[in-house]
Amino acid sequence: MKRESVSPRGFAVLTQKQKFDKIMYVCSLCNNCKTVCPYGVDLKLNEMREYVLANGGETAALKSLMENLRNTGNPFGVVSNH
Amino acid sequence: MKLQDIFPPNAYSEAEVDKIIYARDASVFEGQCKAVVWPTTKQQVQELVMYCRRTSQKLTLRGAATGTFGGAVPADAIVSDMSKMNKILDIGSDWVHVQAGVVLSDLNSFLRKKNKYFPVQPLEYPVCTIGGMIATNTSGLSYHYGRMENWVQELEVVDGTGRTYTTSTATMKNFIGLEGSTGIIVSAKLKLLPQPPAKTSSIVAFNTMSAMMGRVEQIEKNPHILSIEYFDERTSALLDLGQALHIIVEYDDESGVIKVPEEVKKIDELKEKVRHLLIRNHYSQKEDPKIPMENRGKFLHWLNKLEVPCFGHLKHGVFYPHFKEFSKQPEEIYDIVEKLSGEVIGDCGVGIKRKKFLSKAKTEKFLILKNEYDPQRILNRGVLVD
Repeated sequence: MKRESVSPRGFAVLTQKQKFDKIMYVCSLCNNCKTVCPYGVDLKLNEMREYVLANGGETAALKSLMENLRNTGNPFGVVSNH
Repeated sequence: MKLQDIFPPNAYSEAEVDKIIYARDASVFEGQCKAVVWPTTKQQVQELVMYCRRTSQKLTLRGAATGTFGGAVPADAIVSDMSKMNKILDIGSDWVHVQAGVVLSDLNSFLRKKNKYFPVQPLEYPVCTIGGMIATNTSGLSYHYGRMENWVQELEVVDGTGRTYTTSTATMKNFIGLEGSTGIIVSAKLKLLPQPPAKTSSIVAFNTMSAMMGRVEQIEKNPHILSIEYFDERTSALLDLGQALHIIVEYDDESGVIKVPEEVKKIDELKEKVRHLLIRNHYSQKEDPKIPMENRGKFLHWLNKLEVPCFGHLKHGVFYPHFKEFSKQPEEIYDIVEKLSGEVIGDCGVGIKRKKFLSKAKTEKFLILKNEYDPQRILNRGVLVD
Protein backbone atom coordinates (compact mmCIF):
# COMPACT_ATOMS: atom_id res chain seq x y z
CA MET A 1 0.00 0.00 0.00
CA LYS A 2 3.04 2.27 0.51
CA ARG A 3 1.18 3.99 3.34
CA GLU A 4 3.35 4.22 6.44
CA SER A 5 0.28 4.20 8.67
CA VAL A 6 -0.38 0.53 7.96
CA SER A 7 3.21 -0.54 8.49
CA PRO A 8 4.75 -1.96 11.66
CA ARG A 9 6.74 1.25 12.05
CA GLY A 10 3.51 3.24 11.77
CA PHE A 11 1.81 1.09 14.40
CA ALA A 12 4.83 1.57 16.67
CA VAL A 13 4.48 5.37 16.42
CA LEU A 14 0.73 5.22 17.08
CA THR A 15 1.25 2.93 20.07
CA GLN A 16 3.89 5.26 21.47
CA LYS A 17 1.39 8.09 21.12
CA GLN A 18 -1.34 5.96 22.71
CA LYS A 19 -3.39 6.53 19.58
CA PHE A 20 -5.17 3.16 19.23
CA ASP A 21 -6.98 3.78 15.99
CA LYS A 22 -9.12 1.48 13.85
CA ILE A 23 -6.38 1.57 11.23
CA MET A 24 -4.68 -1.04 13.40
CA TYR A 25 -7.22 -3.53 12.06
CA VAL A 26 -5.24 -3.41 8.80
CA CYS A 27 -3.00 -6.13 10.12
CA SER A 28 -3.38 -9.92 9.93
CA LEU A 29 -1.58 -10.44 13.30
CA CYS A 30 0.88 -12.78 11.58
CA ASN A 31 3.77 -11.40 13.72
CA ASN A 32 6.14 -11.51 10.77
CA CYS A 33 7.21 -8.00 11.81
CA LYS A 34 8.44 -9.39 15.14
CA THR A 35 10.25 -12.23 13.39
CA VAL A 36 12.12 -10.07 10.90
CA CYS A 37 12.72 -6.93 12.99
CA PRO A 38 16.49 -6.47 13.26
CA TYR A 39 16.01 -4.42 16.42
CA GLY A 40 13.92 -7.01 18.25
CA VAL A 41 10.81 -4.86 18.52
CA ASP A 42 7.64 -6.72 19.57
CA LEU A 43 4.57 -4.63 18.84
CA LYS A 44 2.42 -6.90 21.05
CA LEU A 45 -0.23 -6.91 18.36
CA ASN A 46 -2.92 -8.69 20.38
CA GLU A 47 -2.64 -6.15 23.18
CA MET A 48 -2.70 -3.40 20.59
CA ARG A 49 -6.01 -4.74 19.30
CA GLU A 50 -7.42 -4.84 22.82
CA TYR A 51 -6.52 -1.21 23.28
CA VAL A 52 -8.22 -0.36 20.00
CA LEU A 53 -11.40 -2.01 21.27
CA ALA A 54 -11.11 -0.32 24.65
CA ASN A 55 -10.76 3.05 22.92
CA GLY A 56 -14.03 2.92 21.04
CA GLY A 57 -12.67 0.92 18.15
CA GLU A 58 -15.42 -1.67 17.99
CA THR A 59 -16.99 -1.63 14.56
CA ALA A 60 -20.59 -2.65 13.77
CA ALA A 61 -19.25 -5.70 11.95
CA LEU A 62 -17.19 -6.77 14.96
CA LYS A 63 -20.11 -6.26 17.32
CA SER A 64 -22.32 -8.39 15.12
CA LEU A 65 -19.62 -11.08 14.84
CA MET A 66 -19.19 -11.31 18.61
CA GLU A 67 -22.93 -11.50 19.22
CA ASN A 68 -23.23 -14.27 16.63
CA LEU A 69 -20.37 -16.18 18.26
CA ARG A 70 -21.94 -15.90 21.69
CA ASN A 71 -25.43 -16.82 20.51
CA THR A 72 -24.74 -19.49 17.94
CA GLY A 73 -21.07 -20.50 18.23
CA ASN A 74 -20.31 -19.34 14.70
CA PRO A 75 -19.53 -15.89 13.25
CA PHE A 76 -22.43 -16.05 10.76
CA GLY A 77 -25.22 -16.38 13.30
CA VAL A 78 -26.46 -19.58 11.62
CA VAL A 79 -28.37 -21.98 13.81
CA SER A 80 -27.88 -25.61 12.89
CA ASN A 81 -30.99 -27.65 12.14
CA HIS A 82 -29.28 -30.86 13.18
CA MET B 1 -6.52 24.19 -7.89
CA LYS B 2 -6.53 22.20 -4.64
CA LEU B 3 -4.32 19.24 -3.70
CA GLN B 4 -7.32 16.99 -4.27
CA ASP B 5 -7.37 18.18 -7.89
CA ILE B 6 -3.76 17.03 -8.38
CA PHE B 7 -3.98 13.71 -6.52
CA PRO B 8 -6.71 11.05 -6.63
CA PRO B 9 -8.35 10.09 -3.30
CA ASN B 10 -6.01 7.14 -2.71
CA ALA B 11 -2.94 9.38 -3.14
CA TYR B 12 -3.88 12.14 -0.71
CA SER B 13 -4.63 12.13 3.02
CA GLU B 14 -5.34 14.54 5.84
CA ALA B 15 -6.27 11.68 8.21
CA GLU B 16 -5.06 12.22 11.76
CA VAL B 17 -3.20 8.91 11.89
CA ASP B 18 -1.24 9.83 8.77
CA LYS B 19 -0.39 13.27 10.11
CA ILE B 20 0.87 11.71 13.36
CA ILE B 21 3.02 9.09 11.65
CA TYR B 22 4.41 11.24 8.89
CA ALA B 23 5.51 13.83 11.44
CA ARG B 24 8.29 11.40 12.39
CA ASP B 25 11.18 9.68 10.70
CA ALA B 26 13.81 7.37 12.22
CA SER B 27 15.27 10.20 14.30
CA VAL B 28 14.17 11.46 17.70
CA PHE B 29 12.61 14.55 16.11
CA GLU B 30 8.90 15.12 15.67
CA GLY B 31 7.49 17.78 13.39
CA GLN B 32 4.07 18.82 12.17
CA CYS B 33 2.54 17.25 9.09
CA LYS B 34 -0.33 19.05 7.35
CA ALA B 35 -1.18 16.39 4.77
CA VAL B 36 0.41 13.47 2.95
CA VAL B 37 0.53 12.92 -0.80
CA TRP B 38 1.83 9.99 -2.83
CA PRO B 39 2.86 11.22 -6.29
CA THR B 40 3.35 8.71 -9.10
CA THR B 41 4.41 11.03 -11.96
CA LYS B 42 6.81 13.89 -12.55
CA GLN B 43 3.83 16.02 -13.54
CA GLN B 44 2.19 15.50 -10.17
CA VAL B 45 5.43 16.46 -8.43
CA GLN B 46 5.65 19.62 -10.53
CA GLU B 47 2.01 20.53 -9.86
CA LEU B 48 2.56 19.89 -6.17
CA VAL B 49 5.47 22.34 -6.08
CA MET B 50 3.44 24.95 -7.99
CA TYR B 51 0.57 24.44 -5.54
CA CYS B 52 2.92 25.02 -2.60
CA ARG B 53 4.30 28.15 -4.23
CA ARG B 54 0.80 29.57 -4.86
CA THR B 55 -0.42 28.82 -1.35
CA SER B 56 2.91 29.54 0.46
CA GLN B 57 3.00 26.06 1.93
CA LYS B 58 6.08 24.05 2.75
CA LEU B 59 6.89 20.62 1.37
CA THR B 60 8.92 17.83 2.95
CA LEU B 61 10.16 14.91 0.89
CA ARG B 62 10.18 11.38 2.22
CA GLY B 63 11.80 8.21 0.89
CA ALA B 64 12.07 5.40 3.41
CA ALA B 65 12.70 7.92 6.23
CA THR B 66 15.53 5.86 7.69
CA GLY B 67 17.74 8.90 8.38
CA THR B 68 18.52 9.57 12.03
CA PHE B 69 19.15 13.31 11.84
CA GLY B 70 15.66 14.54 11.05
CA GLY B 71 15.95 14.94 7.28
CA ALA B 72 12.36 13.81 6.63
CA VAL B 73 10.70 15.57 9.57
CA PRO B 74 8.17 18.15 8.34
CA ALA B 75 8.14 21.65 9.81
CA ASP B 76 4.41 22.29 9.46
CA ALA B 77 4.59 20.97 5.92
CA ILE B 78 2.88 18.75 3.39
CA VAL B 79 4.78 15.47 3.17
CA SER B 80 5.38 13.94 -0.25
CA ASP B 81 5.89 10.21 0.21
CA MET B 82 7.88 9.20 -2.89
CA SER B 83 7.45 5.44 -2.39
CA LYS B 84 4.90 5.04 -5.17
CA MET B 85 7.40 6.35 -7.73
CA ASN B 86 9.00 2.92 -7.71
CA LYS B 87 9.45 1.85 -11.33
CA ILE B 88 12.66 0.58 -12.85
CA LEU B 89 12.43 2.42 -16.15
CA ASP B 90 15.20 1.09 -18.36
CA ILE B 91 18.53 -0.72 -18.31
CA GLY B 92 21.60 -0.57 -20.52
CA SER B 93 24.93 -2.38 -20.63
CA ASP B 94 26.35 -0.45 -17.68
CA TRP B 95 23.54 1.74 -16.39
CA VAL B 96 20.00 1.57 -15.05
CA HIS B 97 17.33 4.27 -14.99
CA VAL B 98 15.04 4.20 -11.95
CA GLN B 99 12.40 6.35 -10.32
CA ALA B 100 13.40 7.88 -6.97
CA GLY B 101 11.13 5.66 -4.88
CA VAL B 102 12.71 2.38 -6.03
CA VAL B 103 13.80 0.43 -2.97
CA LEU B 104 17.41 -0.70 -3.16
CA SER B 105 16.66 -4.34 -2.35
CA ASP B 106 14.15 -4.44 -5.24
CA LEU B 107 16.81 -2.98 -7.54
CA ASN B 108 19.30 -5.59 -6.25
CA SER B 109 16.87 -8.42 -7.10
CA PHE B 110 16.27 -6.99 -10.57
CA LEU B 111 20.00 -6.54 -11.27
CA ARG B 112 20.91 -10.04 -10.07
CA LYS B 113 18.76 -11.48 -12.85
CA LYS B 114 20.65 -9.30 -15.32
CA ASN B 115 24.02 -10.31 -13.86
CA LYS B 116 24.74 -6.72 -12.89
CA TYR B 117 25.51 -5.00 -9.62
CA PHE B 118 25.06 -1.63 -7.96
CA PRO B 119 27.89 -1.34 -5.45
CA VAL B 120 26.64 1.29 -2.96
CA GLN B 121 24.88 -0.83 -0.32
CA PRO B 122 24.26 1.02 2.96
CA LEU B 123 23.06 -0.72 6.10
CA GLU B 124 19.47 0.25 5.28
CA TYR B 125 19.59 -1.56 1.90
CA PRO B 126 16.47 -3.70 2.57
CA VAL B 127 14.29 -0.57 2.71
CA CYS B 128 16.12 2.59 1.61
CA THR B 129 15.13 4.34 -1.61
CA ILE B 130 17.39 5.49 -4.42
CA GLY B 131 16.13 9.07 -4.05
CA GLY B 132 16.99 9.13 -0.37
CA MET B 133 20.41 7.63 -1.02
CA ILE B 134 21.16 10.34 -3.57
CA ALA B 135 19.75 13.13 -1.40
CA THR B 136 22.05 12.14 1.47
CA ASN B 137 24.94 11.08 -0.81
CA THR B 138 25.23 7.94 1.20
CA SER B 139 28.10 5.47 1.10
CA GLY B 140 27.91 1.70 1.35
CA LEU B 141 28.91 -0.64 4.15
CA SER B 142 31.99 -1.19 2.01
CA TYR B 143 33.39 2.33 1.76
CA HIS B 144 35.65 1.24 -1.07
CA TYR B 145 33.06 2.14 -3.70
CA GLY B 146 32.69 5.66 -2.41
CA ARG B 147 29.43 7.55 -2.26
CA MET B 148 26.38 7.93 -4.46
CA GLU B 149 27.93 10.92 -6.24
CA ASN B 150 30.42 8.48 -7.82
CA TRP B 151 27.61 6.33 -9.23
CA VAL B 152 25.00 8.77 -10.54
CA GLN B 153 25.13 9.55 -14.28
CA GLU B 154 22.09 11.76 -14.54
CA LEU B 155 19.16 13.05 -12.50
CA GLU B 156 15.67 14.18 -13.33
CA VAL B 157 14.72 16.87 -10.85
CA VAL B 158 11.88 19.27 -10.05
CA ASP B 159 13.24 22.27 -8.17
CA GLY B 160 11.51 24.59 -5.72
CA THR B 161 10.31 26.91 -8.48
CA GLY B 162 8.62 24.05 -10.35
CA ARG B 163 11.24 23.90 -13.11
CA THR B 164 12.23 20.43 -14.26
CA TYR B 165 15.75 19.43 -15.26
CA THR B 166 17.70 16.57 -16.62
CA THR B 167 20.99 17.41 -14.99
CA SER B 168 24.36 17.55 -16.63
CA THR B 169 27.50 16.26 -14.89
CA ALA B 170 28.10 19.82 -13.70
CA THR B 171 24.62 20.53 -12.31
CA MET B 172 24.11 17.11 -10.75
CA LYS B 173 26.18 18.12 -7.74
CA ASN B 174 23.65 20.85 -6.95
CA PHE B 175 21.20 18.14 -5.91
CA ILE B 176 23.30 15.19 -4.71
CA GLY B 177 23.82 15.39 -0.96
CA LEU B 178 21.61 18.46 -0.66
CA GLU B 179 18.99 16.45 1.23
CA GLY B 180 16.06 17.61 -0.87
CA SER B 181 16.64 21.26 -0.07
CA THR B 182 17.23 22.31 -3.68
CA GLY B 183 15.06 19.94 -5.66
CA ILE B 184 12.97 16.79 -5.73
CA ILE B 185 14.72 13.86 -7.38
CA VAL B 186 12.19 12.21 -9.64
CA SER B 187 14.44 9.67 -11.35
CA ALA B 188 18.11 8.79 -11.64
CA LYS B 189 20.41 7.03 -14.08
CA LEU B 190 22.91 4.95 -12.13
CA LYS B 191 26.18 3.37 -13.22
CA LEU B 192 26.50 -0.37 -12.74
CA LEU B 193 29.25 -2.92 -12.36
CA PRO B 194 29.07 -6.10 -14.45
CA GLN B 195 28.88 -8.47 -11.46
CA PRO B 196 29.67 -8.57 -7.77
CA PRO B 197 33.43 -8.79 -7.32
CA ALA B 198 34.81 -11.90 -5.66
CA LYS B 199 36.17 -11.09 -2.21
CA THR B 200 38.23 -12.78 0.43
CA SER B 201 38.42 -11.65 4.06
CA SER B 202 40.55 -11.91 7.17
CA ILE B 203 39.64 -11.21 10.81
CA VAL B 204 42.49 -10.18 13.09
CA ALA B 205 42.35 -9.57 16.87
CA PHE B 206 44.53 -7.17 18.86
CA ASN B 207 44.96 -6.52 22.57
CA THR B 208 46.20 -2.96 22.19
CA MET B 209 45.35 0.01 20.01
CA SER B 210 49.01 0.64 19.18
CA ALA B 211 49.47 -2.94 17.92
CA MET B 212 46.34 -2.61 15.78
CA MET B 213 47.25 0.77 14.30
CA GLY B 214 50.79 -0.44 13.62
CA ARG B 215 49.45 -3.36 11.61
CA VAL B 216 46.89 -1.19 9.81
CA GLU B 217 49.57 1.28 8.74
CA GLN B 218 51.60 -1.61 7.36
CA ILE B 219 48.87 -3.12 5.25
CA GLU B 220 46.58 -0.31 4.18
CA LYS B 221 48.61 0.75 1.14
CA ASN B 222 47.93 -2.68 -0.43
CA PRO B 223 45.87 -1.82 -3.53
CA HIS B 224 43.97 -5.10 -3.24
CA ILE B 225 42.42 -4.14 0.08
CA LEU B 226 38.80 -3.04 -0.40
CA SER B 227 38.22 -2.09 3.22
CA ILE B 228 39.53 -2.38 6.77
CA GLU B 229 36.60 -2.48 9.19
CA TYR B 230 37.15 -1.77 12.86
CA PHE B 231 35.26 -3.23 15.83
CA ASP B 232 36.16 -2.12 19.35
CA GLU B 233 36.00 -4.43 22.38
CA ARG B 234 32.35 -3.70 23.07
CA THR B 235 31.12 -4.31 19.53
CA SER B 236 33.42 -7.32 19.20
CA ALA B 237 31.83 -8.81 22.33
CA LEU B 238 28.32 -8.17 20.95
CA LEU B 239 29.30 -10.01 17.78
CA ASP B 240 30.79 -12.91 19.80
CA LEU B 241 34.22 -12.28 18.31
CA GLY B 242 35.77 -12.11 21.78
CA GLN B 243 36.79 -9.25 24.07
CA ALA B 244 39.51 -7.65 21.96
CA LEU B 245 39.88 -5.08 19.21
CA HIS B 246 39.20 -6.58 15.79
CA ILE B 247 39.73 -5.60 12.22
CA ILE B 248 38.10 -7.26 9.23
CA VAL B 249 40.15 -6.82 6.07
CA GLU B 250 38.45 -7.35 2.70
CA TYR B 251 40.52 -8.11 -0.40
CA ASP B 252 39.61 -8.24 -4.06
CA ASP B 253 42.12 -11.05 -4.61
CA GLU B 254 43.04 -14.29 -2.85
CA SER B 255 44.97 -12.63 -0.01
CA GLY B 256 42.28 -13.11 2.64
CA VAL B 257 42.24 -16.20 4.86
CA ILE B 258 38.48 -16.69 4.42
CA LYS B 259 37.86 -17.63 0.79
CA VAL B 260 34.65 -19.65 0.64
CA PRO B 261 31.92 -17.26 -0.63
CA GLU B 262 29.35 -18.37 1.97
CA GLU B 263 31.87 -17.72 4.76
CA VAL B 264 32.81 -14.34 3.27
CA LYS B 265 29.11 -13.46 3.20
CA LYS B 266 28.81 -14.30 6.92
CA ILE B 267 31.65 -11.88 7.61
CA ASP B 268 29.84 -9.23 5.57
CA GLU B 269 26.76 -9.78 7.67
CA LEU B 270 28.66 -8.87 10.83
CA LYS B 271 28.74 -5.28 9.60
CA GLU B 272 24.95 -5.23 9.39
CA LYS B 273 24.46 -7.14 12.59
CA VAL B 274 26.54 -4.85 14.78
CA ARG B 275 24.24 -1.84 14.42
CA HIS B 276 21.15 -3.94 15.06
CA LEU B 277 22.74 -5.38 18.20
CA LEU B 278 23.74 -1.94 19.42
CA ILE B 279 20.17 -0.70 19.06
CA ARG B 280 18.81 -3.78 20.82
CA ASN B 281 21.13 -2.84 23.68
CA HIS B 282 19.68 0.70 23.71
CA TYR B 283 22.57 2.41 21.91
CA SER B 284 20.21 4.12 19.51
CA GLN B 285 22.09 7.40 18.93
CA LYS B 286 24.92 7.26 16.44
CA GLU B 287 27.43 9.77 15.11
CA ASP B 288 29.64 9.44 12.03
CA PRO B 289 32.75 11.61 12.41
CA LYS B 290 35.47 11.60 9.77
CA ILE B 291 38.92 11.68 11.34
CA PRO B 292 42.20 12.51 9.57
CA MET B 293 44.32 9.39 9.06
CA GLU B 294 47.11 10.51 11.38
CA ASN B 295 44.66 10.97 14.29
CA ARG B 296 42.57 7.79 13.97
CA GLY B 297 44.40 5.99 16.76
CA LYS B 298 44.00 8.93 19.18
CA PHE B 299 40.28 9.20 18.46
CA LEU B 300 39.61 5.50 18.92
CA HIS B 301 41.73 5.39 22.07
CA TRP B 302 39.71 8.28 23.50
CA LEU B 303 36.42 6.50 22.71
CA ASN B 304 37.72 3.36 24.40
CA LYS B 305 38.54 5.34 27.54
CA LEU B 306 34.97 6.65 27.62
CA GLU B 307 33.66 3.12 26.96
CA VAL B 308 31.71 4.30 23.91
CA PRO B 309 30.98 1.36 21.59
CA CYS B 310 32.29 2.05 18.12
CA PHE B 311 32.88 0.42 14.78
CA GLY B 312 33.89 1.96 11.47
CA HIS B 313 35.93 2.24 8.32
CA LEU B 314 39.57 2.39 9.37
CA LYS B 315 40.85 2.74 5.80
CA HIS B 316 38.70 5.81 5.20
CA GLY B 317 38.62 7.33 8.66
CA VAL B 318 34.83 7.30 9.16
CA PHE B 319 33.64 5.88 12.48
CA TYR B 320 30.30 5.19 14.13
CA PRO B 321 30.36 5.72 17.90
CA HIS B 322 27.02 4.86 19.48
CA PHE B 323 25.34 6.29 22.56
CA LYS B 324 22.36 5.53 24.74
CA GLU B 325 19.13 7.28 23.80
CA PHE B 326 19.29 10.46 25.88
CA SER B 327 23.03 10.56 26.43
CA LYS B 328 24.81 13.91 26.31
CA GLN B 329 28.09 12.22 25.37
CA PRO B 330 27.84 13.20 21.69
CA GLU B 331 28.59 16.76 22.78
CA GLU B 332 31.98 15.58 24.05
CA ILE B 333 32.54 13.82 20.73
CA TYR B 334 32.04 17.03 18.78
CA ASP B 335 34.73 18.79 20.82
CA ILE B 336 37.32 16.04 20.42
CA VAL B 337 36.60 15.66 16.69
CA GLU B 338 37.27 19.36 16.18
CA LYS B 339 40.44 19.20 18.30
CA LEU B 340 41.68 16.36 16.07
CA SER B 341 40.93 18.41 12.91
CA GLY B 342 38.15 16.03 11.93
CA GLU B 343 34.67 16.61 10.56
CA VAL B 344 31.62 15.92 12.71
CA ILE B 345 29.55 15.05 9.64
CA GLY B 346 30.91 11.94 7.94
CA ASP B 347 28.52 10.14 5.64
CA CYS B 348 25.09 10.12 7.28
CA GLY B 349 23.81 13.53 6.31
CA VAL B 350 23.11 16.78 8.12
CA GLY B 351 19.31 16.84 8.55
CA ILE B 352 17.95 19.14 11.21
CA LYS B 353 20.30 18.07 13.95
CA ARG B 354 23.73 18.93 12.62
CA LYS B 355 23.45 22.18 10.68
CA LYS B 356 25.63 23.97 13.21
CA PHE B 357 28.56 21.75 12.24
CA LEU B 358 28.62 22.78 8.62
CA SER B 359 31.57 24.98 7.76
CA LYS B 360 30.89 28.62 6.95
CA ALA B 361 32.01 27.98 3.36
CA LYS B 362 29.63 25.06 2.95
CA THR B 363 26.72 26.95 4.49
CA GLU B 364 27.33 29.87 2.16
CA LYS B 365 27.49 27.53 -0.83
CA PHE B 366 24.25 25.82 0.18
CA LEU B 367 22.53 29.19 0.61
CA ILE B 368 23.55 30.24 -2.91
CA LEU B 369 22.08 27.03 -4.29
CA LYS B 370 18.97 27.43 -2.17
CA ASN B 371 18.45 30.94 -3.50
CA GLU B 372 18.83 29.68 -7.06
CA TYR B 373 16.66 26.57 -6.91
CA ASP B 374 14.24 27.24 -4.04
CA PRO B 375 14.08 30.99 -3.39
CA GLN B 376 10.68 30.70 -1.74
CA ARG B 377 12.08 28.17 0.77
CA ILE B 378 9.38 25.58 0.08
CA LEU B 379 11.47 22.41 0.13
CA ASN B 380 12.54 20.63 3.33
CA ARG B 381 12.51 23.76 5.46
CA GLY B 382 15.03 23.56 8.29
CA VAL B 383 17.12 20.79 6.73
CA LEU B 384 20.74 21.55 5.88
CA VAL B 385 20.37 25.33 6.10
CA ASP B 386 18.04 27.67 7.94
